[in-house]
Amino acid sequence: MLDLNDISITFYPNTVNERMALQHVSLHVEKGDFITVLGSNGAGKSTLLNAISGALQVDSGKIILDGKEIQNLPEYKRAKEIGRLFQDPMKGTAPNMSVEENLGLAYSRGKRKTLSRAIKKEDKDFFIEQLKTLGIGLENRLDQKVGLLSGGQRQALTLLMATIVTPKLLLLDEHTAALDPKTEKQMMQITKTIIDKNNITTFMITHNLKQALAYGNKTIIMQEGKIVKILEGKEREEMTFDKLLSLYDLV
Amino acid sequence: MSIAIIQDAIELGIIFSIMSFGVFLSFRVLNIPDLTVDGSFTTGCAVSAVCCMMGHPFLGIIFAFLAGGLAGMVTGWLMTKCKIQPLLAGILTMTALYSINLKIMSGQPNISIFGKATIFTPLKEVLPVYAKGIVVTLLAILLVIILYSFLKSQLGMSIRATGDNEAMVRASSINSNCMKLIGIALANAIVAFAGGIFTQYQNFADISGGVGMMVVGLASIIVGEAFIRNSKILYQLVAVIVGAICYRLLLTFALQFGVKASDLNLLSTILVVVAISLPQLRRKNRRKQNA
Repeated sequence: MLDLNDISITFYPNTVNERMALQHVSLHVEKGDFITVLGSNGAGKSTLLNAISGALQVDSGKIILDGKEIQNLPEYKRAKEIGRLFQDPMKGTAPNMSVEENLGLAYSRGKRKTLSRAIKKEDKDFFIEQLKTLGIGLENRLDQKVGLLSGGQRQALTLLMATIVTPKLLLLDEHTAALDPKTEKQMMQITKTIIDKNNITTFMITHNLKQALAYGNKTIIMQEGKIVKILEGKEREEMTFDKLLSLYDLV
Repeated sequence: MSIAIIQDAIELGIIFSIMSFGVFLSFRVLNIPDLTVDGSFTTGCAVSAVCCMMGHPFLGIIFAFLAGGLAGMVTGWLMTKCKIQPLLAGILTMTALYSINLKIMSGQPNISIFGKATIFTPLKEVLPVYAKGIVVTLLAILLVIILYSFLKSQLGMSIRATGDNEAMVRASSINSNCMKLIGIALANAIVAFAGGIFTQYQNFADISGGVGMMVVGLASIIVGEAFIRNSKILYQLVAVIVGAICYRLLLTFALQFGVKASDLNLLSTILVVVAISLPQLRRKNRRKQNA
């Protein structure tokens, strides 16, 4: 479904600050895989997701999504098929536009932008129905500016926006890290429901080791721009928090 | 002060409100301070005057609109493709436009179109006193309706979102550069359109007619927002009209009280500076009082 073939990214090449953010990373991802990504700061987790989404262009290597090479496509073109969430809840929504306008924009993902009315009556009904599934009461606040929502609400809305047109790939970059523990739990619940319902192939970066094992079917550990360990199947099932912690230190 | 002077001020205010819609589009919607405006307004004046000389006043304002759009596209292109900072891109286009505007005006610094037919001529035969007022009001209302439906359309909403959160727009698979280009082009088209009307209104085009237009637009927007504090688009557009008219009246009063016409740009600038900085200063003051 997704293949990373020997991709590399170097920041500030040929200077004293040169840093190899991704070094010859290869990875094969099956449809429906939910991969959690672990690694210390600077290990290249976000760079990996940025490379896939197109926010960063790779220096070498190929990224193949559903048989199509996408490494040379600009970010906005890849976004047709790739949904994305960041740690910062402010990043994924337009604060001065209303909830329904934000959803409307996400709903027209990949379609030509015409001069026809952006939000029609039937769209509105659909948005209300979708917002209800989040279970946080946003369905009653369609006309409100997104800037007035809390971080958790904004992040939940962003998740809905990223998946309202089912993407082939969903990239979550510590999307619950800025939320309080209770909201975080709720957010993970919503995330899991949406991913399971639509069988979306997902990458999720997290610093929470428990979360990394509790969700998904594979876990990759990154260090210094390389994938140093892929946990799956039996090995992953038998993995405990303590064992993972020691592994984390070792690699 | 006579009724005629007030009427003139209101009519001019309405014309400048049309110009301010353009500034609103770039400054408020796209969040880009676009200085092309000072040049593209003159472009509109020049094109309109030349067309009037040839006897085509209506074509004049249409061509003014198109010429302004072209100027805006140049700025948009400099910004997005050449990666030049928006402020500098606007200044570059504005500077280049000075030469181009002179070319349009065949090298003359001003053109008088007294006695030529204008867009106001047909109605003037029926209603000599109110013709100009009626025409500019109708044009402004038409523009509000068009702009409102545009900003509520898929394309318009994408442009608004680009000004609000560009990263989110790209993540929604929208080409944000393309949106900026369209937005800036439309903004300058509207500004030049207003320039075209302005020239026919005063029967005169001047090479320096556009100087300070960006600030005039800003002042109108800010004054309007002081009166109408509603973030709904329709209200914001109406606020621009109210603001532009109030601003014109303000200037007229100033002139009546003996302020020289050449000092008006200084006054406008001070007004904008005060209006922008006042809320910040007030907040700072409040913090001090609380401390």
